[in-house]
Amino acid sequence: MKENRFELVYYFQKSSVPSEKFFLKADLPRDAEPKAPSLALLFEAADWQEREIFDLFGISFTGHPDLRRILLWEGYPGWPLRKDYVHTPDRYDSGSEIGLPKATP
Amino acid sequence: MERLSEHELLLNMGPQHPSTHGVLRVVLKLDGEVVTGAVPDVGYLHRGVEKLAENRTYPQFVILTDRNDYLAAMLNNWGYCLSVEKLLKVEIPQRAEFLRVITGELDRIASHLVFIGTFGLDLGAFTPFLYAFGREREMVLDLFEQLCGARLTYSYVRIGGVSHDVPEGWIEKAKKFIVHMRGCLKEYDDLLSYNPIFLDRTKGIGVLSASKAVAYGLTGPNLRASGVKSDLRELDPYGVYSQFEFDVPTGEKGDCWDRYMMRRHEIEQSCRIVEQALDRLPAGDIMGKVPKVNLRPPAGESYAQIEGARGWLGYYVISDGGTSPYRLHVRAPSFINLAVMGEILKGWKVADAVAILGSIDIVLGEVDR
Repeated sequence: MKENRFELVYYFQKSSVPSEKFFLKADLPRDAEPKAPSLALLFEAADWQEREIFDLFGISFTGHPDLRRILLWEGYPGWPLRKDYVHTPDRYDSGSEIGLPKATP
Repeated sequence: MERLSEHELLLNMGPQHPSTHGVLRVVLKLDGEVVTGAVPDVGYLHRGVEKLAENRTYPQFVILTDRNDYLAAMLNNWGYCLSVEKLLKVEIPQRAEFLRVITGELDRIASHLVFIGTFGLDLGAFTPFLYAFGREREMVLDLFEQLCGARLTYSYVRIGGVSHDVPEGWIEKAKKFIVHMRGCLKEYDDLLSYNPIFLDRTKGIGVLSASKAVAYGLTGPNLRASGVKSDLRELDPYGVYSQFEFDVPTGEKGDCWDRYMMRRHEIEQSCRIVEQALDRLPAGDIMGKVPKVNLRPPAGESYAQIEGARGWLGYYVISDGGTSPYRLHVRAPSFINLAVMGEILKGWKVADAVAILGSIDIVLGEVDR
């Protein structure tokens, strides 16, 4: 982000009275390994969502019972949703791995 | 996983499996035939939709929303367009709003028909699948094809309105379909809903208490089956939903049968809404005042939530004033509903695992985006 920070947006809504809702924002410095406290033990719904944020942004949640990648595979290089993410070419890119003809430039 | 004891077996209900409703992998820890632990593994259909959004213009992204929940694409389009329209502060013409309700509810019916068909199929009932999926749903898809040209990925609801107006005779055909659908619901009840084998396999299976459902953030028919009467169309209405009369059914125990009956009752209620909307469809434009080229919403952020077929579908859009969103996040109900799997499968047998997974009604496109 331009201002060199991450912004975590929490959205709380009451399940039985959905018109009651509010947003909560938390700012994190844009370090190499940003950390935030986990809400997973308080709200089970936060469990998978925090894993997704860890997976795609690299923000670790301290106190999370099982923090590992959820959508991408283990060992995936980098944090894709970051704005400064550069894609390391892997075997899905050109198709030459499985014998597809190279794309003409 | 921790060390397994002598009697336990790790069974991989793998990504290619006819009953997982897509590419879902669940690693089951079994003790004999009883499931003692379950770890869902998702991400096989991850296409990076949220990252793609940062490189597509706002109207272009509507096409990508179709592919999230591909069984109820109209509702996906609608959620996204609501969010962007909040940023634009544009007024949607009434005709477009009513058309959105009609097509949204018809799509909800189509999605629930898929559920009825495939849920029965998972448990071994072949006939309801052919009726729900192959007969009724085809009628809905025919209606949509006449309306916007597509059967599955409609991109019908656009930013500012809808894309096509109803052709001649469409309203009568839609009304005829609703009448036919009501008759078919009785047929499904005879065939499946009160079938003793079906009741044996779903009643009392996979019970989810209301407090657990709320803690896990479950929404939609799953939450209502556990007894929490919560429907965004009634309690936090969007569009023109406050003008329609419909009931919100709730279940009692939160077992698989309740979740199934929720969707079956919802088809009835959707039929009511569509009838009322078709009767009251006003004349007018179908598209509001939205720039055709270079749509630049003012900088800001917005979140809009609709009652999707599987739960509360929300789109969070952050705009920096450019033609592409700065960040877009999809609150996918299936992703959040699926998190309860690890908890709910414990203690049931393997065959029940299929029933429970089917009753949560996920769509992997939405889970993985």
